[in-house]
Amino acid sequence: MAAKRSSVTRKQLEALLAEALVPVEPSGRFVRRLRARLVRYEGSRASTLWAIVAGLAIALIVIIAGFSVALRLSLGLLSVLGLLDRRPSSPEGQQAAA
Amino acid sequence: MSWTQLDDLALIQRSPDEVEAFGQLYERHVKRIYNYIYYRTGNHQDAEDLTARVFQRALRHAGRFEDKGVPVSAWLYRIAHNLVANFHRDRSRKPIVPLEDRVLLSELGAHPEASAIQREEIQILLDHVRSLPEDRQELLILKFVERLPNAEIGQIMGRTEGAIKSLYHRTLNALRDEIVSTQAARELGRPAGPGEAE
Repeated sequence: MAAKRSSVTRKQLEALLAEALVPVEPSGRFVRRLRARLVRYEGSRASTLWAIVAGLAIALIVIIAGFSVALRLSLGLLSVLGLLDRRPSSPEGQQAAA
Repeated sequence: MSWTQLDDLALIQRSPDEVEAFGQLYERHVKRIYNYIYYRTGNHQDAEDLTARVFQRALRHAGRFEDKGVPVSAWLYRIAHNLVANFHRDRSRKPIVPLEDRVLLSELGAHPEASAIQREEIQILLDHVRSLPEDRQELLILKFVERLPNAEIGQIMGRTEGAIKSLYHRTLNALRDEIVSTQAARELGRPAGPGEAE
């Protein structure tokens, strides 16, 4: 081949290049791990978004529940105060009311 | 929906919202991009590192991809080209292709001595290829390793098909001159390194 090179033709040179520049295979482990990394990277962005949405939803539920409890306590307190207010303070008062 | 049925453009457009769309795109192109980088850097470690960076960058910028008639593969090659250029600029090191890592299809079943001579000759040829300017190396890799047509090579390299044909012709002539010059130097008993012919 070396002797031929001094008068190497275009076709011969192309044949040599086709022989030298052959495709190589990346390791299967590398290909799989990189795919997993890319998907996890993208997936982690999606899960972050979902975590924010879930956090906001939970906070909203807690606030509404808090208001609900406060409202119930207020109503209960007002009911007790109302009952206490309607109760006669002395027997004379009770007779007058009758 | 099966991702395999979608073309590259549909996959890249869905990538920002659908993880698996990018996964499918990755599977289609990872070997080609790896090969391109391997022959531009000369070793598997750097090829793996840069291939990972190409796809990470592509994923980050997938939402900004605009359909201008250029294939997605050309876009990926452009990213790879830029990263390899940065790699060589930053490290300023000469790429080396370790032959022991390469599997030459033509060697299978060959005589060990003949295959050793063939390895040596191929190494010399690869040294000559690596001594060529960057754009010529890129052209040879895309043409011989990736087996792409001139039109697609033109899209990747940002040139017309005619310009690619012309560059290919000049590249072969330069390579032939290099080989002849090396051969002449050998016959005179003087070692000639790649790049002396120009």
